[in-house]
Amino acid sequence: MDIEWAACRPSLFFPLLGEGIRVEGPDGSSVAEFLAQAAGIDPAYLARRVQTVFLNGHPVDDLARTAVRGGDAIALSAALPGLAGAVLRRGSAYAAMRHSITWEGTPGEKGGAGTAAATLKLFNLVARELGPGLLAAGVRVPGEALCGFLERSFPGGAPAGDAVRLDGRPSGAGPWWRGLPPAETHRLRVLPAQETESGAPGAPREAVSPPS
Amino acid sequence: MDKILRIQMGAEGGPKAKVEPLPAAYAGLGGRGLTSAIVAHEVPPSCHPLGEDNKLVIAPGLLSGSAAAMSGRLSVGCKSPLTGGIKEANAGGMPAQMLGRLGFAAVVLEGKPRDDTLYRIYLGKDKVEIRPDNRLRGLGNYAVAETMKAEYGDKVSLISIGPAGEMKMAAASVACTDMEFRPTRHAGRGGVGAVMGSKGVKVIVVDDTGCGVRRPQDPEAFKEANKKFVEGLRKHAVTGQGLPAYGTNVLTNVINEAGAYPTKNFMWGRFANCNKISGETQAETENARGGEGSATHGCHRGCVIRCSGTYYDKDGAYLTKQPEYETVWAFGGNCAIDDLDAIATLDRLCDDFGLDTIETGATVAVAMEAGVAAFGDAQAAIRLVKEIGAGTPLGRILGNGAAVTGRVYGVERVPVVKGQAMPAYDPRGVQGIGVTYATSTMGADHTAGYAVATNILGVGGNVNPLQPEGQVDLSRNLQIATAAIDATGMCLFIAFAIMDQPETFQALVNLINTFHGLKLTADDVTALGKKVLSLEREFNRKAGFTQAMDRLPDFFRKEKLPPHNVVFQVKDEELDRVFNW
Repeated sequence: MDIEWAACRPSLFFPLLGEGIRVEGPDGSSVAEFLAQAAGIDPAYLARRVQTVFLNGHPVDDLARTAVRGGDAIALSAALPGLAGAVLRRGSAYAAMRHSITWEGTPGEKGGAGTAAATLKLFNLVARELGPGLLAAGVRVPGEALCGFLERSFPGGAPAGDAVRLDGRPSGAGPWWRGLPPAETHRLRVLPAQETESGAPGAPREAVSPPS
Repeated sequence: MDKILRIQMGAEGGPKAKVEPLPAAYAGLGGRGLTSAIVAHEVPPSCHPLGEDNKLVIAPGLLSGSAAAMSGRLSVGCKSPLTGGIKEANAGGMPAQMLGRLGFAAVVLEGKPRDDTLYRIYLGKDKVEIRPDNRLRGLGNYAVAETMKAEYGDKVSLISIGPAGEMKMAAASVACTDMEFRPTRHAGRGGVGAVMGSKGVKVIVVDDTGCGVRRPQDPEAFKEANKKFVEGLRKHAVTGQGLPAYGTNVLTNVINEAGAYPTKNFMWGRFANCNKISGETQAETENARGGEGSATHGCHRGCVIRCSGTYYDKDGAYLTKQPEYETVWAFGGNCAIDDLDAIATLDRLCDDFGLDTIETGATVAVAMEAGVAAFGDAQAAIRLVKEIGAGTPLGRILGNGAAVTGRVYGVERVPVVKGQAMPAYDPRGVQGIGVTYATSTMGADHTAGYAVATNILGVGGNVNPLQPEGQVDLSRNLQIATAAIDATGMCLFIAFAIMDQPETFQALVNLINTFHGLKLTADDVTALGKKVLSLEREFNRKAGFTQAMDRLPDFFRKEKLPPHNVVFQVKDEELDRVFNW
């Protein structure tokens, strides 16, 4: 299903990015290369802003020397507070404190042999900064996660002022997502609703590019 | 801040106040440094924590009451009824700034009333008034604030206890009012509220009317240092962006991803529904219900990080301040509750009854494991906390913490050290934090080794971050650095900016030096941290603590924590090295 959502508050969808979207990139490539190919994340942004990276729940220290394989889950976070936040950072001076869970997988290779599908989770400021661009371009989300998110975020249906199209047709009122096949992956595109002179929602505005 | 106010609650004819100059032995100490020094020197280590020989020491920081940013922490120290050892718990809010302006380095409650009269204390410019006020008996902290507001207005600040403190429960906190005169900031840990209750003091009204801002020795240099300090905090990603946007609950998703998020009373390292209670979801909820900016708020004037916020109910009415990460975890993942509104209600109840949210959440989880309620049952958790507030027999058990509750119900998996419940980081996932939990003088306490600025502070040498054995050295260095920063009374969150920005650390040192006319060096900072820890360790030793108490509960070495299936691996002999210096 292709879902296009003109939202008055696109930021309400940022927590969905923390649950994970499906991306595809070169199998066996490094985390940095995979993210550039699969989600268009600028390596410079990754190096500067993304202080904490997990691969399958393990903190990663070296993005260039860690390979991504099919079925992996990558999670990205900006710098975090707390001792734990400092400990989990890439290359942290306190990395010894989490040695039992640190990633010790295989190094990445330049250009993988095939395509790998992975889950990408974006947390906190990273979701806020990359979210508008990714959501505007469209993200692929597992049906079960999408339905659960929509059910608790908008229990009565899309907020007033939002406009939703399903495969190009208006969704109608109410919680239409209850009819989505949970086992399928759906494409969700979220754009800021363009206000008309009367304040009513209209066509989506142009997509917002992620920061470089 | 050159004087100490001592109030002898058991004096002949009623409580008597005495103001004395700050003794030389306590000069240069603030916050935890001062509370621990007074407790270590003046409280018999073997005394009963609720008896007349214990003292409750309330101390602002070295810069509280000045124009220095982030200087509004208030330390509360005593012998703990929860751990049996020395205790310092601290809170934000307004009282520290006002006590500083009144010139008090510390307020010490001593002795014990001769009957069960409940007192209120008023501290104003050149005025100390202690009056019986049994009308306040049984009131929650919010009702106390309303009662005091009617009499004094809302320009004063309060230090108070709720029913839990009056009932001398070991999980009782001391509440401080925030900028909105709400009792939302708590010195939570170790049962400090029970000690205040044992002194018969319900509330201390702090009124700085007529007092100016404290003046630095070198005003121009101080102003410049403060400007650079604030700039450093504002430009850093954590103190300038992450904490203001999401508060401390920004950690939920990430600690969960790491598999170190204690779930269902430390059974698992991940909570499947954590996204429902994450900082990101919480911030969106607050901003949607209360308007943009609701998720960003300071707890006292002079705070530039603004890691707090305001939580509104579904109708847009104020419910509580933004629950912090540890609170959301304690009642959330730890109890398998995924309902933010219920967690906010629990936070409100704890603030009103005067309860430590970490200890109370951990206790509810232990009770759930015992079958008193089902994991995930938010309404049952609310009922249990209300039992504490009402002082029912079950409530009395729960209000005395996780260790007591586990013993009463025969639960083996009780996550405590020295009787104090663990916070929101599983020590099997982040083992270095386990070292601090085990060895801290305070019992399981994540903030005991929190000052992630050891490199800049120059504490310890270089530790190879890739060697697992380094975590004992790192824990030692962190505990020293934390004790030093705690002794300044500054908010610990400044450490994140200090860690990455040497110029911000220099600005902090300049702030203290230009204010007090000192020439502190990094070596002095290390020495101060060691001095505080040594005082605390010696008190605990005399109180009966041994190395055997510097251990995690057995199940952390036996039960593998999913998803990484790890156990706590640091050997006992390594733990015993932490305080070798």
